[in-house]
Amino acid sequence: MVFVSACGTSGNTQDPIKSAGVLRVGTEGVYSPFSYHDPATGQLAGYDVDVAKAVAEKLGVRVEFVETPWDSIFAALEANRFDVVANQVTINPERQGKYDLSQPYTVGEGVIVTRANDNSIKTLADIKGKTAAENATSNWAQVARDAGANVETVEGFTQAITLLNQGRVDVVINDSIAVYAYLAETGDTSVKIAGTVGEKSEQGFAARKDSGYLPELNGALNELRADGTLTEISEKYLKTDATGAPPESPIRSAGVLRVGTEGTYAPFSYHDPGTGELVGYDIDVARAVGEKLGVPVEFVETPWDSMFAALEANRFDVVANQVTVSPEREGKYDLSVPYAVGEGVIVTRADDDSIKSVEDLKGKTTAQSATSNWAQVARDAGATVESVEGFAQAITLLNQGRVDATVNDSIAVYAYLAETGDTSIKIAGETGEKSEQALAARKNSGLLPELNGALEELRTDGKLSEISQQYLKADASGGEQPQQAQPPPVRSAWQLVLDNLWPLAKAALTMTIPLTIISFILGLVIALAVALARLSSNVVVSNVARFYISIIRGTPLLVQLFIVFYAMPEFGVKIDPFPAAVIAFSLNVGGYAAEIIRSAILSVPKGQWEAAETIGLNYTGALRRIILPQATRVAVPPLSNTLISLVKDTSLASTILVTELLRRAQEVAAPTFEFFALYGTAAIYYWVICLVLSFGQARVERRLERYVAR
Amino acid sequence: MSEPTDSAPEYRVTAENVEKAFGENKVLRGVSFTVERGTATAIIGPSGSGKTTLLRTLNALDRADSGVIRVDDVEIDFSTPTPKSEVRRFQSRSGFVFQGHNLFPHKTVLENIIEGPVVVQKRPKEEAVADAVELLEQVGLAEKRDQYPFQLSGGQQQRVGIARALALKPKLVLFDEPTSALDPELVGEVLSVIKDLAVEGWTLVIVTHEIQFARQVSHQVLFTDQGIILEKGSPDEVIGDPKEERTRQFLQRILNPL
Repeated sequence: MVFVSACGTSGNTQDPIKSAGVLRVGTEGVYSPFSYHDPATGQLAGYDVDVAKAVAEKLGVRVEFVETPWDSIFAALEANRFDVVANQVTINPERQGKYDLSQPYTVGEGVIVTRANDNSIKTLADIKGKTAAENATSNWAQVARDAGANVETVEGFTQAITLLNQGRVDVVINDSIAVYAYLAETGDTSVKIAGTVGEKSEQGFAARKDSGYLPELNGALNELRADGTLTEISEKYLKTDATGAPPESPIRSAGVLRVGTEGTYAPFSYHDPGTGELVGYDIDVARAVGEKLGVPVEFVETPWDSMFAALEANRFDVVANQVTVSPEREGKYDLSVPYAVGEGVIVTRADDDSIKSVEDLKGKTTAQSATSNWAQVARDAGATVESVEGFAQAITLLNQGRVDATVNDSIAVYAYLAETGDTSIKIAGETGEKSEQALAARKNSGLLPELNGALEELRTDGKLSEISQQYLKADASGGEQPQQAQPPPVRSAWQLVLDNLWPLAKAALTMTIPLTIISFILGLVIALAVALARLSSNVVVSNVARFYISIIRGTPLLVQLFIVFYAMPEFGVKIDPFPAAVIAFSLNVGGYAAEIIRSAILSVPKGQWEAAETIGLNYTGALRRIILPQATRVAVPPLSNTLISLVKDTSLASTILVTELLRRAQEVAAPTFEFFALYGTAAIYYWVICLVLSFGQARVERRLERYVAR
Repeated sequence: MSEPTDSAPEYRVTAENVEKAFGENKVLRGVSFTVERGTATAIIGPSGSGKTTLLRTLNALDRADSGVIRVDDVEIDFSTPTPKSEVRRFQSRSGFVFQGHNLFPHKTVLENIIEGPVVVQKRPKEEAVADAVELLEQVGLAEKRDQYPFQLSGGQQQRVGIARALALKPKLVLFDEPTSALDPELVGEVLSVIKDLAVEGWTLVIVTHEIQFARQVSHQVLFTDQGIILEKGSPDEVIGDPKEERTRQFLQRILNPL
């Protein structure tokens, strides 16, 4: 038996989903049109839901959906409540670090949504100082925060749009797909898309890190894309094909990567003098990319000056020849992420001191490749440019005194100096331009996802640096790329808790505790009035009280909060979060405590009322001086229960934007994913508050027992 | 502490044709009697005969359905609606001592006694306390002033109840079976306090089963039966020589239970 189960385990590592026989999918269920319940049938439906179903079908396994609120969806994933998240999880570097993300199945762009009559916001820069409603853990929250907006965290897109409509926030940033789908579905004309945030967003499945699910998920998605199922589902729910370009197929499906390169540009692309083999930094990078993509690489040696013409003529797929990234090139070609970063330098003869900066090039002659961007730099500086075939030729002309200088990339120059030990030339100055070199492909080739993916992997696993060291004697792979979002410095969970002890305590002191105290006092006043009304001999009054108690006790507190905060604005009653919470909690305490107070009053013997009457006290006097003091003794234990419940119930106010203890913890936990540490800290704070209250209760009870025989 | 002699009418209580029903159950069926100023009246009779209800109508703890009752200078015709303030004025003329004392458990002995004078009658606290101390001396409980009711014996509690009723300086003190909830050995101390009050000239109406006590203390005895006063007169007449057969049977049962 042991042996058999061991076999099963090894099978898991191959096709874990198929071996499990079931794909458990976490999804919100309240994120129309991606994951929601069809109002007609009540069935879970939506784009993400159907994609997940289709993937499971391709894999031949059952699918089980686990509905989970977005803010706890990753915590639930980590807790192994399900295998993958299918809920428009946007792919970003932080998430890629924490989770296994599949290939994207929707592609959109971030858009800024405002009220239709608000013309103050047109670009991301305009949202500075405004208030945005976003999911705490969504990447759009970070985009809004980075742009200087205050972020109110909400449960989902629908809630965000509601807050926007109610004027509680100014802006919502979300994916264009979600927004268009919302506008198409609701016909809502009170909001509009005011601008874009200039970021493409890709959404995929998320699984636990190192789950081993990706080959199966990506394979299934490839098949669904190829047979049109994905597009079909997209058009059904999103009224458009939002599935994006097939991200992986072109190179892999072609089965080969054809690379154009000079072959004469040491140390980037040249023939090893010893073996005659084509080698160099760019050559090895291209080979490594091919290896990552699982395809062989074919090199097509082409002179630099006809390189792009040959690319256009489809003689090869990409150029790997230190193609410097420039706006012009970006307009004409698909450029990958850079794989080499250097700066422009001016090279002169060692004995020439007349040239120190770009200005000094005026009137001089430089040797440059005709189509290189360095030729343009030299020309702009007022130099006469001699066109040459490549860097080696330029250096030769310089050494021969035929030209005065050559402008090129520092990487090439340092590599040349290191390799040759040439002392007759020197670096005389810098152009002040940074240069990034990338692979170039034809415009809209669709090759970039594969190329970039492979390059990122090479960067991550250190292969790029290794190749760079081999050929350039330096790491020029551009490890720290400006456009590459740097993962936030990782703090340990313990440090995170320490750093947030005071912020969480502050949230407890300024929100949770005042909210509790104010609501409890108001609630007791309401409760006393309701209890007396309930005891009234007036049938109408007592029935009104009875109805009130029934409503409060018969509906969830969360629903009461939502009605006060989200529903009342429909009747023109817009209440800020804190007062809204106070109202809802007071009314709730009022309903529960009324019954406690009523029964406490009833527990006081009738003789006490009569005795009070015979000494001349009226109803109010009897109540105040004789009955309530005695009823208090009976009511204190159950009322303490109510108070302690209330402390914990205030955490529900987090759902209506009150930044109390739990919400503060959520806000810290969301971007750091340290759920246990922060929710644990919050739990301890709640517990301490309740502990203090319990001690207080014991003291009050002891005091009230002083007139009772023991 | 004896009540002041004033120009009040000769009769402290005049009740005419008082009727009271609880639902279908007619408890009082036309009761009329008078109580002279400075006298003690004992109401005796079998259980359910309406004697306690009769007492409670004199303080409006139970509102009579019809009939006219005058206590001191306040007269109410219960067959017509009466303003609350008038009922209060009516109630303020009498003090009430309960069978189960009904002391306020959360107040000390002294606080129980001064509650009415200070809170209702708005008398200065020092004065009310001085009066209360004097009353406590009178009922023999001066040293208990700062104790809570639960720390007293039943007889002591009942004596505090009497002091509380007297503190309001009523024109009439009503006792509802003041000793029937007490252990037998505690009955004496309470009866002796009441007897002192009678001697001092307070106007008292006492519902009681203590026949000997009634005979000894009261000036007038009312025998109630089935919602009416079957027989009334001096103790010697009603207890010593009852005219009615039912009165005789009742007394027989009480005095010789075996």
